[in-house]
Amino acid sequence: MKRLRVHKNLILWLLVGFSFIGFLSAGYLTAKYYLGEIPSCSFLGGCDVVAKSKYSQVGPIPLALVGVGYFLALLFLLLAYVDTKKVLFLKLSFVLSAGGFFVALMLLWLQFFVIGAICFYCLISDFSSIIVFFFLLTKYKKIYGN
Amino acid sequence: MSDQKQTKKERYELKKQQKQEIVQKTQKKRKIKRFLFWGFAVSVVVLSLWGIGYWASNTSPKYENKTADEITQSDWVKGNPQATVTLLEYSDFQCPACGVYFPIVKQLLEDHPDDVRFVYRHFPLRSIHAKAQLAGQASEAAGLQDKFWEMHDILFERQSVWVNGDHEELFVSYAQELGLNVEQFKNDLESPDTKNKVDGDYLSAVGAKLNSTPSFFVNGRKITNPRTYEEFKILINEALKGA
Repeated sequence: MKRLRVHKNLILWLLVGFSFIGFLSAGYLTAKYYLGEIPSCSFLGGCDVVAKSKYSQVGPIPLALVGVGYFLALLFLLLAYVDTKKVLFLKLSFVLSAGGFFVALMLLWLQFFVIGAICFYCLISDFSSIIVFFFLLTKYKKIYGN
Repeated sequence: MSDQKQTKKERYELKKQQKQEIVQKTQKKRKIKRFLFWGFAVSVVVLSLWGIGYWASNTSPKYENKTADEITQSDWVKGNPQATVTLLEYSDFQCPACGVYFPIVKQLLEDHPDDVRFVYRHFPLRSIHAKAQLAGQASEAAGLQDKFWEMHDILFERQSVWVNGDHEELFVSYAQELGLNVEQFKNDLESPDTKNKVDGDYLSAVGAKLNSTPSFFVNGRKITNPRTYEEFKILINEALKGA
């Protein structure tokens, strides 16, 4: 029983952890955008191309800033669940992460097949979104019952 | 009997009061715990934001903001600085097509010594030309010893040699041949400054939405690559007439 609780909490803290990682990565890209600089990645090396592509913005808003908002909202919803144990917060996190999951898939597709360049920091954010969604799927029973 | 009743009532009140105190204490503890929890969470987020901003502003180099219609102090310019026509090339030392255009551009400059100035910018297509970035850095390292154009010429003339050989070693041998301070050249070859110079040019090419090399601009206007020297000459003459 105790082991089970540790396992449940572990998933919850992993969710918080990955949301935080996604937030850091999106935050770095946002900071670079507003500093007027291009993120340099020695690893993979396509940050410049991706950051300068037309897909890096939604109208006047940099996509990275949307990412910051998304991960921050997710982070605080999960923390609210940790604090209150109200399923509503988990439910909201799940709905939000489902949206994030599909956006992450789309962004990965854009990087691999349309832009033809990979941005390391974008990958971190994208995979954080995907992992968070899959971890939240394990809580599906708790959220929606049987 | 009455005393006993009062004592019972008192005991009941006392118990009730104690219970209330416990509840109040627990609530207070919970409040403090929640305050600390959220205080910690918000502090971590705020500190992270500050850390990200600090890290972002200190990690990557600041590149010069270059555009195709403006020549900057850091550009390599050949020919008459006051020339009416500016021919700008985004090029890659490893690109075979750039190697083909090298003698054509050279001929153009020889034929128009007063009218045309030539600007070279790096656009190493790293994903397909693994040695192009370092070749660009080699030219920049030579440039630090005032031999950019000499290295530029050697790199194109001997493209097939270094592309198929130990390029790093060959770059050093070219530096030696040009009479450069070899130790200095070796240090500059992979220094952040030379790398940033090449990267800065590269980013300006990406900013100009270029995707191939060579890409030519005549007086800031992108042109379709002429197929022959004659076609190139016609384009330059048209630019001269229009100037």
